[in-house]
Amino acid sequence: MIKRHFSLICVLMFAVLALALHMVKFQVQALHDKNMRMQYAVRKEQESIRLLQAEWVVLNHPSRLLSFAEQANSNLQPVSPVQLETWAGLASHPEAAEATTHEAAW
Amino acid sequence: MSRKIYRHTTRPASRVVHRESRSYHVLSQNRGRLALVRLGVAMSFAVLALRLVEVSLIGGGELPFRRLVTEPHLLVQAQADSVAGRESAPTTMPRREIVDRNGILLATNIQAASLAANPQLIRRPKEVASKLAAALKGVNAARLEKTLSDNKARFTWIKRHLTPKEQQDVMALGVPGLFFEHAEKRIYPSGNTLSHVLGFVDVDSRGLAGLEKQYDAALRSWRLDDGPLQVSLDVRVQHVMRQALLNSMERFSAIGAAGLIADVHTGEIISMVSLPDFNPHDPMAVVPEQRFNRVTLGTYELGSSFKTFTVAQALDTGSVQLNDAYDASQPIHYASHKISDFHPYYRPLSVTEIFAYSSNIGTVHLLQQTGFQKQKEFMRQLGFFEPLKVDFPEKAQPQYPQEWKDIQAMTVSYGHGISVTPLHLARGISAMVNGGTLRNMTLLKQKPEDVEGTRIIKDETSKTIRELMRQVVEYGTARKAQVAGYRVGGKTGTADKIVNGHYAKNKRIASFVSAFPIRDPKYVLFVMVDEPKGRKDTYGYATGGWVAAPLAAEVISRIGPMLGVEPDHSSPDLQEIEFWERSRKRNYEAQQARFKPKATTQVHAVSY
Repeated sequence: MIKRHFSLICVLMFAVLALALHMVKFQVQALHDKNMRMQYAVRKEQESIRLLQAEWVVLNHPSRLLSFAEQANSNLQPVSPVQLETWAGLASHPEAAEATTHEAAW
Repeated sequence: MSRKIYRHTTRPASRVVHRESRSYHVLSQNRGRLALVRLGVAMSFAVLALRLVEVSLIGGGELPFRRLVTEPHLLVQAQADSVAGRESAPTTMPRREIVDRNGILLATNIQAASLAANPQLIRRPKEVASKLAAALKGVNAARLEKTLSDNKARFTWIKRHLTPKEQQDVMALGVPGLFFEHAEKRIYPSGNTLSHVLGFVDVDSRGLAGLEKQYDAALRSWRLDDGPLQVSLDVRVQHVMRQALLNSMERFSAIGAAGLIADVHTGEIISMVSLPDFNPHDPMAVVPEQRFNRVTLGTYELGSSFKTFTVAQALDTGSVQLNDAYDASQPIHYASHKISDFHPYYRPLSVTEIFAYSSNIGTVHLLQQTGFQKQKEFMRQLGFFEPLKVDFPEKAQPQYPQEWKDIQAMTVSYGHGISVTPLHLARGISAMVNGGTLRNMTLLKQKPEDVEGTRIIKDETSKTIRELMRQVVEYGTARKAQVAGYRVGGKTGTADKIVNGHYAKNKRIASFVSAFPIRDPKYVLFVMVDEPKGRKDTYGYATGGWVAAPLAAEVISRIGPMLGVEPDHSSPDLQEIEFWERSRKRNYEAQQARFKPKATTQVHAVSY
């Protein structure tokens, strides 16, 4: 009697497990497929980012910008060190101090 | 009898089979067969179970489980390609990108189509070949026809890395048997600007020169946490340097030029330019000379810049004092050699003046105070006898006198008879101005705390050298290197080139090595123009002071603001004028006291 039930239980378990495995397998396949598509999309995206970055560098290349500056306005010059001043040095310029007080008055 | 009747009329209550019965024999025979069937089924399931364990845990498929864990890109690649329906997938991930010190992209990859054919499917090779040759640049029709007529081949490349336009044209032809393979192509958005330093790759993206070759393995290996390779270069500075060198080359009708900027404290190379250069996308289109990197492969006699080392050593060893004066009125004759000055002064000169006016005679006197063998040792310490330890594949062995006799030592003291690369010189000068520490040069971005070095001169001597270099720009041969807003120090160098073993009269290298801001130098800059020709507006001169010094000034005034170097408008600098006046005054006093040459000149006058 026990022997007969044991066989039945085994058969049932086998059936349940087989069904479960089957379902898990399909789930995994679906996830796998989704993963592949996402990875592919990411790769495509990365490719286009690379292309855009390269284009950005080409468009921003100093020689190209220089040619625009020359075309647009011949008065444009590269920044000269004379135009720069340190914070400490700024105080020694009277016109700068004047401007500051002027702004403060506003 | 009775048994026979029972057998056919009644069944026993229990299913007992008599041993002698026929059923018994049938059953016992089948039991054996059943056992065999059971065994067979059990074994099949056991095999399946084992295979299941192997596939899922140990790995038995094409892409082993464990490898996928360690190298996830293989999975990504394989899956992506299977989704895309590509048959032949590229086996590796794209080569890593290269970015400059500010993160600007210097080298990247784009997807490019390559055209291939299956000759067995091509019906009319001649017609197809002529059509393709018309659509694709650089494809020879006759050669292609021969390839396509080969009936045994199943695969042949027609052209690698097509432009989108070419791809479109080929698709429009609609020829069966042609197909595209998609692969990564290396591109350099900055074009020629960095061609020598970045180098280039072959069609299969293997590094063949420059940084692409040096870091080939690192650029090809791809792990999830790997970002782009960050180099120490600054593309803006590189562009300014290249433009300035190009302008100077054109102005002085020179055959070449080179420039180098490095951080004196970390040894990072900020800019490295060699002209003429080439298009890194098509490096083989030019003559090999154009691919020659003058900064790392070219060895040159760099002339007077070497006086910096002679003076530094003389001061560092204490064999001379800054205000000592030496007779520079007479050329030095030694054996069959005559050592004279380009601009003779016919009077005693102080050490400051010797350096500022670039007196060969005075420098030799200083060397005699130091000693020839000590000088050789110093040159060895500076690394001038061996190729540089730098992360760059194209490196040259310097040329130096094998026998270090008196005359060789004398010429080396002012930069003749020894040929080093500009990189060697820049490294040595960095040590002279940065407080006296010699460091290795590098092309990768460094953290300042990681950089080690060896002390080569005293801090005090380095300070004096900075003052002296400032005097050269203020009062000496490099007055054209003055930059409004910055304090620059430097040393010019002009050396005749050696052609067939002799010094050529009209072929020279004009160079200038400088440090800025000179009070506390951050950068060392070297510029060199190869075979400049004198011009009317330079009074026919094509020396370091006339050619290279203004070039350096142009570069410094442009890159100073970019690199965030603080301007220094505090001129005139009383301290510096005092420094200069003091040296001249002492010198004058020395003359007044009936000058007696300090240098014990043991050289004999022999006619030149």
